[in-house]
Amino acid sequence: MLTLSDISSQIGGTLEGNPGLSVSGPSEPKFASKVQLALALNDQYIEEISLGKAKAALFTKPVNWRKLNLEGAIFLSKGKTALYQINKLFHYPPKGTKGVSQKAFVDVSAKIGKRVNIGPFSYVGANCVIGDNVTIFSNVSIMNNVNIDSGAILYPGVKVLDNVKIGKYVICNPNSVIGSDGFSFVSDTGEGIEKVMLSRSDEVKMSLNKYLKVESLGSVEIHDEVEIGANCCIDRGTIANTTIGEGTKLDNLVHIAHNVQVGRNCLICGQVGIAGSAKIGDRVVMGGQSGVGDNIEVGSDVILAGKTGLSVNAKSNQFLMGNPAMLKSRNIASYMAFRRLPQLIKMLKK
Amino acid sequence: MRSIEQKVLELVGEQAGLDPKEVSLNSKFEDLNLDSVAIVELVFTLEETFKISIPFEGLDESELKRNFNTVSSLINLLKDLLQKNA
Repeated sequence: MLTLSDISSQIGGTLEGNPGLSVSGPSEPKFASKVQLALALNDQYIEEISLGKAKAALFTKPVNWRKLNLEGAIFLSKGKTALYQINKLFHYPPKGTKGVSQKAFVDVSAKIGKRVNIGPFSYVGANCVIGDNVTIFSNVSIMNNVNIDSGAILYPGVKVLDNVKIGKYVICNPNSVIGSDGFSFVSDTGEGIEKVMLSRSDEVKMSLNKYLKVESLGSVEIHDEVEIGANCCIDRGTIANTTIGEGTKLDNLVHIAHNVQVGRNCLICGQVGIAGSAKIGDRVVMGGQSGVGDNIEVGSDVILAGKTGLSVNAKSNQFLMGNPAMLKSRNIASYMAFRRLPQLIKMLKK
Repeated sequence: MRSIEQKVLELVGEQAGLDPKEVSLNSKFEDLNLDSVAIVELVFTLEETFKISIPFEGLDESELKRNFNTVSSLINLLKDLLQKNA
């Protein structure tokens, strides 16, 4: 429980009403209990305060809170970061085992830092280096020569394969796999898909006995403060490492293929697929289910709308949409034209 | 003309996933969280509903914002078109 006075001072807000009123956490106004802080971050939420039971609310604009049957109110001018600030204040990270569980297996050659927690049924392989304050929950598998820097959190079921490097304060959500083999194969005859792709023909003729696996000799580097969602897969590189730049965030079910280089502070939404050897710049935002083809280069400050399919290089500073991807404005204009086609055909027939 | 306003408010509300009562003539499309694709859908719904053709050549983002800033600006455009077609 925190008092309104504590909350207000910690988030830099202005308090009105009862400073000693305690709340257990934030809530959407209409669902708020008597001990919750109603987050009235827009007009709709302000109206819905009366539907809940909150005695206190957080506002991002001037409101006559006394008329809303409240005992106290906090006003915050930076509306867009209000949720970030409040949730940070009330966030208590899940607690795992304190220290190294007796049911965990840690290889004798592994170097374990200070205040490291390793949950039951987790495995830490040979020559791993685990930095200070790292938390590894249960059922996490960390293979050999893995380096995890300080403050990282690996949630249950995460798999980290050989030679992977994980930076400071990286968060990896359940069941993600870092360092799986790259999807790299060649036909034994050289007459497989590789030949078809070079021919640029519509006709497909392949002749092969089997595909030969190109072994993945590289690994994966996850830089500082990257967050990886649940059930993501990041494949190891063929020769060099696959890398994810500092501050980049991956949603759930993201696939990053072998050799991919993702820049800094990118946002990669659910079900995105980035094919082998693609290079993604800094601050790129990829909407859900968007995809980038193999060997494609994307500049910095690029946004791909949801479901965008990018199969050619994209320069910096543009908003792309559609499959094949085009500038958002052109895509919308094309869509308008497409929607008018039935009308146009009717006119032509007349 | 009153019914045009009501119908447009209803259609805008539907597109924004809101009760028509929550949409006013002064509502801005930006505030209603209607992005450009949603506005395009709205344009076609209006065309079908009012049996008109809203003339746009290569509609782009700036054109959308210029023509459809608020619900009332959209209604004014519709009224003009309906008068021309009458």
